[in-house]
Amino acid sequence: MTDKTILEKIKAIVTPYVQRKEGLEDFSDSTDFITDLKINSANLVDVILDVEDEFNIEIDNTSMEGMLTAGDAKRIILTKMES
Amino acid sequence: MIGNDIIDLDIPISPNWKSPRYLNKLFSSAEQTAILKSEKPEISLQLFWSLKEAAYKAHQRQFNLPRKYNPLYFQCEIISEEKNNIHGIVKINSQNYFTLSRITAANIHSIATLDKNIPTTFKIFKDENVLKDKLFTEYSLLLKQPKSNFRIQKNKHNIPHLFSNNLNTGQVFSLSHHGRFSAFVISLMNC
Repeated sequence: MTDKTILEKIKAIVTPYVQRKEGLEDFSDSTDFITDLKINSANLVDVILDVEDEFNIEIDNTSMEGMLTAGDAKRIILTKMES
Repeated sequence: MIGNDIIDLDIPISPNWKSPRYLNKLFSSAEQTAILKSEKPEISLQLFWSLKEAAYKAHQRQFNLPRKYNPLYFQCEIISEEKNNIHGIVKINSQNYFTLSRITAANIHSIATLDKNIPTTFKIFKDENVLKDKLFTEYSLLLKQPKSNFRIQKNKHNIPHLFSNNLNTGQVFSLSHHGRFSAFVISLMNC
């Protein structure tokens, strides 16, 4: 799976939770789930569960701590898929 | 140090909320037991979440910490419920934050403070867009300065600071919004 495919899948996963739709227009590694997309912090865990299901991985609590941007999520997914 | 959190009860909670996968990422087993055994588990879940959020904001401001998504570090306990006031404690590392929450039919609002006796004032609004203006009105009265002096600037950790004529006032406050509601809490210690 390429970086681009992963990023597109992340975008599709977060879209239902996004409260600031303009933030999706230039979706990239640096897109911040909370400050750019205004995803409610209570919904971040839903995003994490959807990511686990989509990529068939388990995101441990330490990884979850640092999942603030699309790029963070991508790096975590790549690392978990390798192991 | 203070933090606050408002939750609009009209916004449905996650459809995953009963699943252990969901609960295990947010709540300790003691918290899950308290939530699931309560009379209204969905309300309790949101109450506990608001405690974690309010304490997170207070803790982040206290130590100027980078943002982190670590709800499990914040361990909540409800101490007492009298009339509409719900008192609790949130523990993170060696810090204890004292919480005061109020639940209405429309929302849940929680305040967390490091010092139990710190005087504070809070306000809740039915509109997200008025929050900064209302905060400036409050500070205008407290600091005896015109509202137009004030602006809010977030630092690199996204913590808001109140500036007056381009100087950081060092005032301690917390902002929150969710759905129809917004809220602020102000520490009156240095006003």
